[in-house]
Amino acid sequence: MLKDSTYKAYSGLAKYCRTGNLDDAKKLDVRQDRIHHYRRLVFNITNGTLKQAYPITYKLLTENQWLELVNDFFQNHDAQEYRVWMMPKEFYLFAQEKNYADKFNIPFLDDLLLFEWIEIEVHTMPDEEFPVFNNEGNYWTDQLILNPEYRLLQLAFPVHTKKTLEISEKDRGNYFLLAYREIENKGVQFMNLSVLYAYILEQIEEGLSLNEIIKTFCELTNTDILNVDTNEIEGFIQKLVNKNVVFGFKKVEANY
Amino acid sequence: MIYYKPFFVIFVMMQSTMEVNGKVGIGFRREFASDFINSDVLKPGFVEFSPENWIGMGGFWKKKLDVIVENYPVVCHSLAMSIGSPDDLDMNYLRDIKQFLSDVNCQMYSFHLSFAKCDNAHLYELLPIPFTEDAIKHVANKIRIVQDFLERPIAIENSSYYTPLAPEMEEIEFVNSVMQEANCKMLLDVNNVYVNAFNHKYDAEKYISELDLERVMYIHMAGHTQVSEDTIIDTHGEPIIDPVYDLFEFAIKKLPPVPILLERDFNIPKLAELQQEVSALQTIVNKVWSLEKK
Repeated sequence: MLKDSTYKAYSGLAKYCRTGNLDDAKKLDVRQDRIHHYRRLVFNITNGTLKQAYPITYKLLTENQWLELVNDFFQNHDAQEYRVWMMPKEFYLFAQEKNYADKFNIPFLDDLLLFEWIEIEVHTMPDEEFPVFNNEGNYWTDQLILNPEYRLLQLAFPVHTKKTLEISEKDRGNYFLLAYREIENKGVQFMNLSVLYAYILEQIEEGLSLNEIIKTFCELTNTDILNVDTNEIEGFIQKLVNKNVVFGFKKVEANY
Repeated sequence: MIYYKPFFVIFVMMQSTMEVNGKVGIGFRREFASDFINSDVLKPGFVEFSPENWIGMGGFWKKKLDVIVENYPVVCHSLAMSIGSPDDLDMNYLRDIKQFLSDVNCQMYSFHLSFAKCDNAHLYELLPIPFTEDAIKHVANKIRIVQDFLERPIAIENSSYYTPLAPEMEEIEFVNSVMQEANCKMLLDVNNVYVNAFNHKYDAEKYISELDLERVMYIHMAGHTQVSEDTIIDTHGEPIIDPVYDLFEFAIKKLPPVPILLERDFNIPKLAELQQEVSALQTIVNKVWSLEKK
């Protein structure tokens, strides 16, 4: 059991490192001429990790805005992730929760942070066991098998297709983005999707065939199924196959 | 029925018993991962990495790590154990560590005698534990729990520090007392001894001589940066300087062969330069410990 005075020493040092407030440091039984090194070291790790994780956001914000956000995060958010490379996810959620998009009048800030985080997340996500599949099958009637290493995002701003300085409130809408990990070199690729294609991917994951997916989509959107361009959809699926986002067709177990 | 062990099992067994004592290893960094794997410029006797940098990671980096694990004896050194923290141990974290150490066939495990988490917030930097009686008991108790949970001996590293925090005793008394109370091993960071001796004006050789050296099972070596007339920061960003080599030789003359690690975390030079440092350390090691063997 720690004595109250010992606990206060711990807590005081941690608090000073998070705030950088010299009044906090003055209360500590430490070498006052050296204590600033700890604030610098601790802050630099967090700040450096976040700059590396969010290079576009860092470039977009002014230095004061960036430091305001990082300091707020560091002082007021209790980081729960023991892996420092995963900590930037908490930063994104913090900025969203504290509504920095409104505060800085950058309506697409949350989307931009999410876009940057997802690249890290997909790049580093644990390896998934690849499902077994058949190479032969029918796109429309068979269940398609996806590469499990992907994320599907819905964004309100086109942070993935436009430069940040060109994005304005007029761009607000519904944007869909596929981020997937290449199976050979493990790099991250992005693919801009229409609402239909995003829906198709989502429903493939649910185990539906293309015929079933298109039928449901038409019902949901009051679209005449005859107006659906099946060639275009097949082209999309073929593109996914070429990029190894779709592996093939579900293997049907022999039933003896 | 198979009456012989498959070759891969024999290989794995050989890996797990490969001797690292007396060998010089390298701290594995992503910055040089590809060059290291794809060339034979850097030839360490083993590789050390931090579980926290790899746990739960797949994809590109996992493939690199797998190559390392297949080809080198592995030693692990945690950054986030925060054994000195006033907070309770994080059992989920410990479970992750235990699984990871098993997955990579870790031969030796260590972490810092410091804290990096307080009031339920990770700080991601090594902060000094108050050198107090109650902190000794607190920390030693946590080390015992960790040791029991991981079912392996652990070594605690003497950390560098730039100011003591509310101290009731000297560093040497604190470190020895924690090790004795916890009955754990020690990772002797020779550069940290040099840095602390410089910063706090004590005799580095005397400090090493007064350590409970029987507990030392691993040594770290690194460079540092002098930032003012009276302050050195333990940056791991420069080559090892001669006085630290001298202190290293002084230390290992008092020890049986243990593994030695070269740490380089910043300003990472070409692999050939790292290999020069590895070779310099190995030369000292061979000289001192070969003589002892004779």
